[in-house]
Amino acid sequence: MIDKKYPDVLIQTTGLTRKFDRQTVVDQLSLNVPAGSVYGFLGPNGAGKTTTIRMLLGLIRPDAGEVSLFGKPLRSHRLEVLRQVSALVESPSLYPQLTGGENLEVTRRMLGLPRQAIDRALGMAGILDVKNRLVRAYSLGMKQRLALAMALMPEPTLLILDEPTNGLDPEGILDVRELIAGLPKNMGTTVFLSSHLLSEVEQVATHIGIINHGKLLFEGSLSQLQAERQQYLLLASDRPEQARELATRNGWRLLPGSNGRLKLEVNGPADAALVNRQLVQDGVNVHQLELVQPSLEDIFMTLTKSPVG
Amino acid sequence: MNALMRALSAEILKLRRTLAVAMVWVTPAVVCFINLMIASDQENTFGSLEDTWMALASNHLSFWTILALPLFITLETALMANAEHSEKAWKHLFAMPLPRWTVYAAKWLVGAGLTAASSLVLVVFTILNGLLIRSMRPDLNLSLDVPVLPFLLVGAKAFVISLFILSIHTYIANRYRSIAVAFGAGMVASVINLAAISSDNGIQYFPWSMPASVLPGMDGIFNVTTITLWALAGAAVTGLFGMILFTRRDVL
Ligand SMILES: Nc1ncnc2c1ncn2[C@@H]1O[C@H](COP(=O)(O)OP(=O)(O)OP(=O)(O)O)[C@@H](O)[C@H]1O
Ligand SMILES: [Mg+2]
Repeated sequence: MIDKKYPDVLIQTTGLTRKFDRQTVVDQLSLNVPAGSVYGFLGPNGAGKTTTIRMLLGLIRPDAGEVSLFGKPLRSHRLEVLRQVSALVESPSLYPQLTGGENLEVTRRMLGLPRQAIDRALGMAGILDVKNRLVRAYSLGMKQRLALAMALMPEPTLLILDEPTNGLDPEGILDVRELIAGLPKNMGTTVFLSSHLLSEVEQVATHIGIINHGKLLFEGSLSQLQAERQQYLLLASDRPEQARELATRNGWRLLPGSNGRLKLEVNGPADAALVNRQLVQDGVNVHQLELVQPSLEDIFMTLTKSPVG
Repeated sequence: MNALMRALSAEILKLRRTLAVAMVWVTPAVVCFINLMIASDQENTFGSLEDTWMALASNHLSFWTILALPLFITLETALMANAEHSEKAWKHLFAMPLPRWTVYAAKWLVGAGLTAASSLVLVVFTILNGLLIRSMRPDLNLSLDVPVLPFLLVGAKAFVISLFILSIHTYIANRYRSIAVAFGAGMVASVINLAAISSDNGIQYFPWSMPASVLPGMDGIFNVTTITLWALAGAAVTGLFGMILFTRRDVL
């Protein structure tokens, strides 16, 4: 489905940097979003996700670095590349005194799309039945869906969504997740999706970028992130100092952040038993031994908790 | 040009069910109502009888040009801009593949359209008001020979001159997120306006006062054509300058 006239990387940023009153909010960010992917852009509150998205759309200027969309610099080809991009940034932008249909009509007129596009988009977002109701009377979730319909209406090659499940109920979240997951196949659309919850994107994303304090901490496919899920052994004993020394001497790799307990990189239960035996032989009494398989969420937490800058 | 037409047609659709549209007839209606109150005072003779229509129109136009028109423009530009500010719609508008200036220009054009429409409504309402006053006050001897064309001409001149104010307020209203800034600017300007009108030369120099130069009594004092040309030049310069400043800003 992906049209070959586009390069393999739809969004590329190089050294993207932006400051707000001397605070560096986006710091040397180099993103590569492959065509045909659903790219989850993850980071805690205030990480710089929205600021990055604003720069991707040319809404604010970077202090340094560059954005390229479809292989073309945004600065010199803004209108040309934006023709194939749709976005929903932060909150929906809707006119409350207009109906849902009229709100889409405003955007349709600006984009010069055919009339049928409106009902099709409303149908995709599952709100065709409230087309003729004033947006003032919409619920938060209905507004969010309408904004989503607005973004889908032009059938963009690249769809940029900033926390699109804001305000949706569990059913709505599921609907939207399903819709997004199907976009690359059904519409040939590449999706760039920001969120502060890994659990929210891990089910739809093919690629993940993790940002904190404006810096990119990880970028790769979901399977690459899963490969980072290194199993470890959590161990508590009566003589922690001696245990640490012994484990290191025996060639085990110590992981940081063990909080009084030892955290060792291991491979399966056999390793755990071996560590235990070695310690007991040297007179250290082990009273807790736990083999831990971190979840993706743990990785995300570890990455975003580590002190940066 | 195509892009401007698209932005304009979107901007017109946004007016649906807005206060901005209602004000197009409410403002002239208020001006007429005040004049009706004045005319119902039996003492009031509206000057010499031959010129009663002109005297009546002059009364309506004073309220219009000095007070109502500048405040109307303040209100309309503020309402239109606030529709975008309050919903944070600029990020949506400016992420669309249209040159940013077309969105700004469309706002200006719709503002001009609303002002023109309201000016026309004022002329029509003034004539209707005159006919009403004619039946209320037979003593005024108002003829049925209504000077429609001169009325239209004066209304049109005031409108053209007011474009200067429109350019200034379009910038202020869209630039500042708070509607209080737009209203504050309009109110301060109105107060200065009253001072400028009562001074000797103020009308020529203060944009908010310029429309008053079309009033029948001002004929001999000011050259309306010159003031109109200055106002048009001012409208063009501030309009373009505002457009450039606005479209270069970060959209937050
Ligand atoms: N207009 C602004 N002026 C000053 N600081 C700003 C501005 N916009 C954002 N910031 C700061 O930049 C940082 C990143 O903000 P941003 O909105 O990009 O975060 P985010 O990752 O989108 O967070 P969230 O998950 O809460 O939406 C924050 O510390 C914020 O305070
Ligand atoms: Mg955000």
